[in-house]
This record gives sequence, structure tokens and C-alpha cells, in this order.
Amino acid sequence: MAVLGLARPAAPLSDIEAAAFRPMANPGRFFWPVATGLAVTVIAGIAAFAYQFAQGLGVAGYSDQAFYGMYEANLVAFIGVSYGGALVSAVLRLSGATWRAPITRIAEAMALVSLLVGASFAIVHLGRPDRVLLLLTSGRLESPIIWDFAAITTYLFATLVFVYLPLIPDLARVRDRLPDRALRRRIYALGAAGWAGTPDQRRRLERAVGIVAVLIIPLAVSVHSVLGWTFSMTTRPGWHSTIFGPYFVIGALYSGVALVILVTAGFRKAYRLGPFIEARHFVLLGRIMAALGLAYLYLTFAELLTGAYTHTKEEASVLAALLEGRFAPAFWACILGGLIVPIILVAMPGRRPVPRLVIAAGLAVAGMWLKRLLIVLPSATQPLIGDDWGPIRVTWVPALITLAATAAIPLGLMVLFRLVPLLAIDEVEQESGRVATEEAT
Amino acid sequence: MMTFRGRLQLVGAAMALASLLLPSSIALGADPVGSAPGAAPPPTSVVLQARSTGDGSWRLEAQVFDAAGEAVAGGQVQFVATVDFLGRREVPIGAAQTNVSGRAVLDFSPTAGGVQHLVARAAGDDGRIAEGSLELDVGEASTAVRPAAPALPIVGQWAAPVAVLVVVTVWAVLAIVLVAGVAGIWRGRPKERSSPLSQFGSPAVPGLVSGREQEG
Repeated sequence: MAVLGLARPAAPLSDIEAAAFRPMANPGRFFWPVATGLAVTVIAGIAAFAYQFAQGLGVAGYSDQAFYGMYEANLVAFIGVSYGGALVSAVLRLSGATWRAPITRIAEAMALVSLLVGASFAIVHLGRPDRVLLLLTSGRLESPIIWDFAAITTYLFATLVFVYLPLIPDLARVRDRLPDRALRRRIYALGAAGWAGTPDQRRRLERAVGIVAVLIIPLAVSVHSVLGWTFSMTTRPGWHSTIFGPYFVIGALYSGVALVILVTAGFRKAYRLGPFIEARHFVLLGRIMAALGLAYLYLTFAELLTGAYTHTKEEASVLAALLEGRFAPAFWACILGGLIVPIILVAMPGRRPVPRLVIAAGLAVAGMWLKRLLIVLPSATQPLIGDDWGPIRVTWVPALITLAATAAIPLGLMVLFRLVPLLAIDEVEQESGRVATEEAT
Repeated sequence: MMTFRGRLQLVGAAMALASLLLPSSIALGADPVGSAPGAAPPPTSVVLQARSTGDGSWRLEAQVFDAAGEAVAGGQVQFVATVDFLGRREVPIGAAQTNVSGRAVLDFSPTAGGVQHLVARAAGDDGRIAEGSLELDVGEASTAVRPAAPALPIVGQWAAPVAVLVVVTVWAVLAIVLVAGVAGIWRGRPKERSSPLSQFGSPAVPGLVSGREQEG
């Protein structure tokens, strides 16, 4: 099999290029079985959505007494994890953290794919998805749903730009390794925009990437703040809280960094990226994750304390259900398993940090998904008249759609890295050269 | 021969017996299918009408009649809107009880514009259902939610324009950065560019060849 479909003899590749091109040239014997399994799951989820579209939201367990559920939690959770990619790539770039270079491509791609999957839940949870265009034609600016729509689409555009710009030099490398008249070469050449690595081009690219990196941070903050305000701008007990904006942002960062750890570990193992993505990358990401976890624990405590202290009847009812009632087992499982245990695992010393940190990250992602469910369900099912709480019915429809969304993220990444290099080759070489120059001087 | 006192006693007894028998006869003469005294007779027809009350709202009036053409009082009427969405579906919009004139009234604020197909349905205790329908062109629908003005007038005046301005500005900046960046890179390309790797002719590709190439 020729390198990237190259018919003529191949040129020697550097180590980083060989690693970055590995999924494109030789994805491995597990690629097709795994991709097929994930694709089947995604298709099953689409079929479940088609069934729900025909039968109504009742088949997903929704009712007048339980008007929000798993889909709203998924919308927050899946968009939330995309912020981890923005943090790793943009924030660490601006703060000069050169260690992030080998993982930026994976983080940026993860941000894009999870954002696309998460945003789709805005349509899945509609009773009449065919009316979604009314948002554009009849939208009311006072509605937090419109703010959501504007924030998510803007953030999506920014993420697309932020993924594409640093990709230009690497697309040029792929272009240079393809036969002259191949259609693929023309496509990659179009994407590479004539990149040749001249100082002038490099300066323009760095300026553009820097501007977008600065822009994407407040955009990501705005998206998750608006997601939180969708709930807190109502007067429902449990939701009407001033802390929801920063609460959702910190939660997004925490779960996002955790997913970056998981995805990076997966691709590192699958494509033998150990020489480039070292244990220290995971340790540093783990520390960031732990710090964010502590911040989220604090905000959780502050929110519960405020609600418990003011003790309005309705607020007390939600808190009681959460802390000692029908939602208590899930709540304490989330606090212990999704927050405290991961922080402890990160803090533990040990020679082999990667497996420990992967477990911590997995617990964090699962715990934060459960936490989003616990933000949605208690307030949505609380009775405002009488004492009968709304029924919580988890049917096969939302379960299958959620599973399909979970499968769509690794599938999307696997497909993407069949088309573009897995590592930010140019960035890693630039950082290595810069470090070597600094060490020499 | 009966004395005057005897006749009085007889009349009193007759009146007492009548006072006992009369309600029973009324009860026995009522609908034999287990309905409570005073229940509505089975409806056989419903006439549905609508009139605009202004501000996008309508008053629906369903007149319910029985088989004799008499108005049915105290009957329950369900109002539904039917839509064609992957088949005919019904959306309940409310319910009302008929008054002594057999009329049930419901105030209806449609959330979708255009022609609405409305149905008023009355069911009797005998299981019979009568319904009347109406095609109603509501024109443009007004929203059911009328948000209150913000507490600060300046917020109400400037929040929406500022928000729109911010969003448009961000999109514009992103588009300019993308287009200007890519255009700048394109303009900065060398005029005669050859592949920097064209000098290499060796097939050696460390670390990336497949097993078959290695065996070859």
C-alpha cells in the first residue's frame, strides 16, 4: 500500500510526519470493525429519532409533568465537552504552554465534532422539529432560546475557523506527498492555499490564529453561560439561580478537559503516538482537570447552600429531593464518583499515571453527564400544584439516541483523521525548533 | 258513613303518600342507564361556531343537541385542533361544560396561523359521541406569551440592538480573519513553486510502509 495513495516512490518522512499520517495511510486492522460498529450505532440512533418524529415526544418519556429530560442534559453535556478542546488549544496557546503542541489537533477536532453532535440535540428535543426554521423567521430576541441559537452557531463558526487555520501547513504537507494530477492533490492544494512555509506566510497565519484564539475564549464562555441562562432565566425552583452562568462554564471546562484526556489516550494507543504524546501531557491535563473539579465542587456547594439557607418552600422541595429523596443516590454518586474520586486519582502519586488519569477522566465525563441530568430533572418534574412529582420514564428511544451521540464522537474523529493529519506537524516542529534554539542560546 | 275527622285523616294520609311516591316516580322515570338525576341526555349533534374577540383570540361556541333537537345542558365538550402531520393528528385545546342553553364556550388563542381545523366533541353516558367541526382562518397567530417589559427601560431599549450588533460584529471579524488570512497566505506563496520533496527519489519511508511493502 503506497503512502497516502502515492503512486511514485515515496519521500522519506520525519518521525512526526509518519505518526501524523498513520491513520491516513494505514489505519490498522481494527479501524473498519470499530468504525462499522460505531456507524451502526449512529444509524440506529437516527432511526430512533425518526420513530420519535413520527410518534411524538411521548415515546421518549416526555409528558406535561416531565417536560425536560435526557435530551436537554445531552445538549448541555455534549456542547460542554467541546469547551475542553477550546481550552487546550486556545487558552494554553495564548498562555505560552508549548507542551500542548502534540495534542492540539486532537483537542480541536474533538471540540468541533462534539459541538456538532451536541448542537443536534437542540433539534432532537423539539416536539415539532419541522418548525425549527421559525427561530429565524419568527424568533423573539427576548428568548434565551434565540440567544442559544446565536451563541452556538457563532461558536461553531469560530471553531471551524480555529480548526482550519492551523491545519493549512499540514494540508500542504499532504498535498506535497500526492501525485501531481491526482484529484486529491487538488483538493488538498485548495485547502493549503498555496502554503510554502515562507516567513511572510507564517507571520500572517500566526496573526490570524492568534486573533481567533482570543475570540474563541469569550465565545465559548458565552455559549455555556447562555446554556445556563436558558434555565436560570425561568422562575422554576432549582433553576432560578444567579450562579448558573459560571457554573455551566466551569462544568464544561471540567468535562471537556476530561474528554480530551480520554480521546488523546485512545488515539495515542491506537496509533502508537507514545513518543510524541508523553505521560507528562496527561499529568498536566490531569492537574488542570483536578483544579477545575475543585472549582466545580465549590460552586455546587455554594449553589446548594444558598438555596437551602433562603428556604423557600419550592426550593426546599427540590433540594430535599436532590439530597435525600428520589434523586439522592444519583446525586451522591455524581459528587463522589464524578468529582471527588477523580480529584483523588489525579493527586495520587504513582509511576504509571496514564491509566489512572484515564480512569479519572472517564469517571469525570460520566459524572458530569449525570450532573447535567440532575440539573434538568428535579426542577422539570417538581409539582408546582399538589404533591405528585412528574414521572421519569427512560425509554429505549432517548437511551439509543444518547448512545448514538456518544458513538458519533469517536466515529467523527476517526473519519476526520483519515482525511487530515492526526498531529499538528508544523506546530510541533516549530515548538521543537524554538525550544532547541532557546537551549542552544 | 265516614265522619269529617275520618275524611281529614284520609286526605292527610293520601298527601303523605303522594309526597313519598312523587320523587320515586320521577326517579323511576329517569334515564335507565345509571345516570344521576338531572344528567344530560345523550347528545346527537354539535354545532361549532367561532367569533373573534380581538388580539388574535377567538371564542369557540359549541351548541349541543339531543335526538329531539333539545339543547343538552351539563354535558362535557372536548375541543381539539386537527393537524395533518405524518397523518391526521389531534391536539387537545380545552374542554368546557354546556350551560342550560346547551352551549359550551372556550377561549382559544391559536399559536399557529392560517386555517385551523377545529372539532368539538360531546360524549353521552350511553357511549355515543357527537361532534361538530369548523374550518377557521385565524390569519396571523399572536403569541401566547407576552413578556413583561424589563425593569430598566434602558435595558428594554438597548439590549436587543446591542446583542445583534455584538453577534454581527463577531461573525464579521471571524469572516475577515479567515478570508484575509487565507488570501494573505495565497498571495505570499512563491511564484514558481516546486514540491520541496521532489528531489527525493528514494522509496524508503521509515515507519509508514505497510507489511506488504516491507516484505517486498
